[in-house]
Amino acid sequence: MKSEESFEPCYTEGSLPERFDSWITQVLENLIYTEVRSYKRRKMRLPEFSTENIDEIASYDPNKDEELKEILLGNTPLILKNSKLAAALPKISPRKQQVIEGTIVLGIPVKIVAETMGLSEHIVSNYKYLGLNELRAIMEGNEDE
Amino acid sequence: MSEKKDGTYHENMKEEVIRRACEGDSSALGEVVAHYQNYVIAVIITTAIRFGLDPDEVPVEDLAQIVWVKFITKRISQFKKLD
Repeated sequence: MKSEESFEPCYTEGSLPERFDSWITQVLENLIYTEVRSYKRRKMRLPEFSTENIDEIASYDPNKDEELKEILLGNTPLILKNSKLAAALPKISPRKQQVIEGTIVLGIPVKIVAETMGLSEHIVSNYKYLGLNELRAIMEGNEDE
Repeated sequence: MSEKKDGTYHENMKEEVIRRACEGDSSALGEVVAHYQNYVIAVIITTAIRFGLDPDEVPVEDLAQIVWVKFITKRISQFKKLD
């Protein structure tokens, strides 16, 4: 006959593995609750999208009434729907145009644009910020500000 | 051993593995993940149903991965403080 000791459970209540088990299940449940909730929010925010919508957005219909403006920003030709933007872009200084061309139109990282232009990253970021502000002011009709 | 709701028992993790996992040992963390992975998946599915989501459309594996990353990077160290 086995001794009484051999029938004792491996872990008594309140031991480290017991405490870890109850702690981890609670923590995981909380994390899962947060993640599933944010997943639902993301899903609700995304609009229903079909391939037909993509075709409509991607294709340009020349018979439509919209008049497109073609301008040259630095060395990059741009076709813009917004006539105000097309008129405002050439009005800002060439340096700001170059920075906007590099960072926004071509999507090049600020660091690389700064190296190409021989300026520091900080100055390029400033030009970008000032250029966008100037564009906004011109488009809103507050050119003097 | 601890009793589950359905009356069955599951083995708890070994003390040494828990301690190593709290120290950030990757093999011990792997054991923790393997031990609780089924539990995580089950809770994700039941939580999704509670939120009115279709469990077949929920990316269970992706959510489980996010949960484990957050657990390992932010939470496991908290148990060390509680211990």
